[in-house]
Amino acid sequence: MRVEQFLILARQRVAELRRALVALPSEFARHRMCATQLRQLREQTLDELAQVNVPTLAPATLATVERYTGYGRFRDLDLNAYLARERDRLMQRVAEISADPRFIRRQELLDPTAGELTLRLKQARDELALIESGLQCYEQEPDFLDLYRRGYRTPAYRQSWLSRQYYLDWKRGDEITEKFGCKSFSEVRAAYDHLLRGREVCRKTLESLEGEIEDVRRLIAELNEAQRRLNDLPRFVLEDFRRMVREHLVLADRKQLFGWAGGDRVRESLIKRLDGVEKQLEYTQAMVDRCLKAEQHDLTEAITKLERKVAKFSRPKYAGTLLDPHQVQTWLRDPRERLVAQRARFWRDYAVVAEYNQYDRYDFASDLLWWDVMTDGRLDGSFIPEVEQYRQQHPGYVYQRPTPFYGQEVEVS
Amino acid sequence: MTRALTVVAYAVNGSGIGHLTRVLAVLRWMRRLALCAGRQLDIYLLTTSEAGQLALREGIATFKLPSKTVVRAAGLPKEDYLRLARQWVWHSLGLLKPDLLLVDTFPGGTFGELGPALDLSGRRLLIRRAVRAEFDPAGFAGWLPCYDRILTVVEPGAGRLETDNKINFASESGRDTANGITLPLDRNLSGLGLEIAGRLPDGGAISPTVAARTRYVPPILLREPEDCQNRATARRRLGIPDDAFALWLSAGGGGDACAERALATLIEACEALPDAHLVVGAGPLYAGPPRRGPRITWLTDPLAVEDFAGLDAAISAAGFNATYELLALGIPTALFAQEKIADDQAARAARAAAAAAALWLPLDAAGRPDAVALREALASLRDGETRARLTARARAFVPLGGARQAAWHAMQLLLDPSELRAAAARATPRLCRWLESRNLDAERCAQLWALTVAVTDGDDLAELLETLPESFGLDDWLFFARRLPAPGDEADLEAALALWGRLAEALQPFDDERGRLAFLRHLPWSKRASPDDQVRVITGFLAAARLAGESLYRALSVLERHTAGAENDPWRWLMAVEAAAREVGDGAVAGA
Repeated sequence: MRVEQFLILARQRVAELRRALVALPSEFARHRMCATQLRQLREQTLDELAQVNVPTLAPATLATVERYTGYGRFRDLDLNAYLARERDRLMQRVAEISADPRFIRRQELLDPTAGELTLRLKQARDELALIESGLQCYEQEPDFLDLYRRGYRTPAYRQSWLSRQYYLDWKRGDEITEKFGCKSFSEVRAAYDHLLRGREVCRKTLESLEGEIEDVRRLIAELNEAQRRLNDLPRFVLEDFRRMVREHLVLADRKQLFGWAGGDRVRESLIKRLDGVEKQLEYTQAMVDRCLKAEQHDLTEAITKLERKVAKFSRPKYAGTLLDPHQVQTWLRDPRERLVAQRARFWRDYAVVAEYNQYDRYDFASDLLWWDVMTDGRLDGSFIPEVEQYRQQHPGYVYQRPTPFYGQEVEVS
Repeated sequence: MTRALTVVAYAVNGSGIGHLTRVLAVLRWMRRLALCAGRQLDIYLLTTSEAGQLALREGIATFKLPSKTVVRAAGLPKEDYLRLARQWVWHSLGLLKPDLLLVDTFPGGTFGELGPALDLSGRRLLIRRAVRAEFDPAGFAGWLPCYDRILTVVEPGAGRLETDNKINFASESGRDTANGITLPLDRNLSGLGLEIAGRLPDGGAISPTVAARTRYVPPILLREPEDCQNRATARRRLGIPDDAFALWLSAGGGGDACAERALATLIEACEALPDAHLVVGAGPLYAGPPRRGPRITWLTDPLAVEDFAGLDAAISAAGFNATYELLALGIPTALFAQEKIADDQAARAARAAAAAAALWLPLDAAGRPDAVALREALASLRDGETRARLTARARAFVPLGGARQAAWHAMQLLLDPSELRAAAARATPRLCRWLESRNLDAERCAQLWALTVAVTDGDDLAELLETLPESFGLDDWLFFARRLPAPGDEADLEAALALWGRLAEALQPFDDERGRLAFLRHLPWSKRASPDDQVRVITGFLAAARLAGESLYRALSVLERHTAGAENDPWRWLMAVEAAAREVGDGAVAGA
């Protein structure tokens, strides 16, 4: 094969590989989708766990929350007193908002066509638009901004009169002065500065008006929310309590949480699922990072090698020479075929972890690794820091599938 | 984390526990220096010593061979034992492949067991204590070139240590003293096994290579005065009544054939004293019947030295450790010499007596302390003036820091000079005690040194680190400290520790340890806001959470929610923390 032919083919291959390299992250869209699903499952599990722990707003139920979750805020809570206090607080707030002059005049202030604040806002916007169009006249004038920033006709102007630029500036300054009908460039500058100050004032007015409108809207929303809560206070309080417990559960140590569950199968099953899903998120991300990195490395290496060949054979001394076709074939071999096969293997392993759903197989009491439980000890996870650390701490460790903790798995969904 | 360094120490059994004690003293300081360098030191001790509990007390893993004494007592064929022992030592060193082999006193072992194994270690160091001139000096000299470093222990009175590789004998030896004891120059030096002008005690020449590799160190002690208990605590631990005259009686490590007889003589002579409380240091190797009684504390503890401050006087065999431990603490002591194969106790006792640092107690024909001399010694030891004089001379007699110096020389074979310099500056006894009290591993230490690099002196650092709250681990502090800008000097570090103190105090009331750890690890932090302001608002937040009975996990969730996205705006961040504090502290928990 002639060198010229090789160079054409090599450049084409480099371009293809570059495109593949750029498009590489998008190849993992499937992972993003899977991660979203796992995150949703995590949120759902947290919701379920909060619901299981606070099923109703009964004092007896609230009394068990600490025992099962370690969350002690409801300890010694007098529910009736709490509800009464909350009702009083909401009613007081409703009264405050109702008496607020801004709320009373809300229609007058916010009416879309004739509202006072609406009109003032429109006026401020118009003024701002006018000032900005005035500023644009100056800013669109060629060289004006440059002269302005360099302080032309001010003590800050540093151009030497021995330079050509000094005379060019002088000429453009005079032309701009004449165009804007002023006597000197200083007048032009003063007019521009005046507009800048006007824009600043106008923006502040606009911000203040928007703030006022936002305040009124917030008052309205708060009143509506307070009234909504007053109409069905126990339900909302129950939701609040669940939210609080959920926020506690989000970060609570999983092993500790499992211990608190005290053998309750439903809770234990949910905690295992929660912990498992979090591990799935962690592991799948680590797998993708590793695969992406490996593919990026392979493609970059192939591009670098080929570019080196192109640089070498582009030199004049190789012009017209013949190259061994077998060697050329080796050089031009497309690594993407190999990467496709590699990625197929990756997705197979990925699916093992991402689609795992036998969370009840995990046993918090044993010193187990989720990775081994999910992969049945068949995949090497040493690229994951947690797995690597575990292996270092347990030299000679071989995974053995645990016997089911319960006679049968519990269906909680 | 850098590679762990492996050190194998080899100590033989003796009739005392001197070899083991010396090796452990050096290993103790090597471990301290390694910790101060942030390096992991894997230490293995191969020994035939029967006082293994001493190594246990020091936390050193011991691989044990029976001693020749036990083999003899068990009636085992000696040749079988020697064959097995040689193979065992060779295989052990071959498997461990140490970076450093540390050997005490006998460079080739006591039955040639070390010879074939010396090339299995990266570097080799010999601690060369004085031996009798007639104890195979030629054999010693033959092995010396195999060692990369030879540490010669210079005993007080034998010569003045000018630098670590220069010793001046002329100033100390062969002089008349107030006690009227004259020590012949040749005996003094030959007892030490020291080279004089490039010659060995038997007259053989030493090679310039060996001379260049030799360093001199003061006596190597396992515990120095600063490691010991104070007088009141020591007396309480020893069970000595306040008004009693506490007298230490010892015949060394207990393995000597005459130990039982010598102790019996001493006890008989001393128990007649009406106000005396006898503390009998029988030693870990003592196998005779114990003598206990209302005014007798019977000890076989190898670390009795820790309580020496509780003693008023001592009568002891002039073994290496017993002599220098007692004298270093300024205990008025009468020394008697036991006959040993390698150790010249008579020379040691004579040197101490010549320096008026101890009393000389001669032996009778049966090898027991002479009765008349013993009575005289007891009278002198009970005399306040004599005791005061002996205390002052004894303290001045024993130079300290031998173990630390020896460890420094050993670590020189393992660490870079700059690494060792930094470690040695840190490794003050105070900082080392703090590290040991916290049970820190090398990895934690390395992280700690990286954070506190601005403070190089160990005592300064210890003073700061001692302010760390006891209730939190070092990991917690490291987690927090990594969020702060790297301390540029001591004042910065002090400020960082003060901030941590405030945060730790605010976290203290939460009795959920895991929760506290999770809070510290996930604590939101802004690089833009001043650490002082942040700690102020966070402590306020924690106080509010505590008051409301809120869990740390939820508190953290709320804090994360409020501060999300505010990290780059200090004002917004601080306001967010305060808003979070209002939410968790609000009695009305509703979210409306």
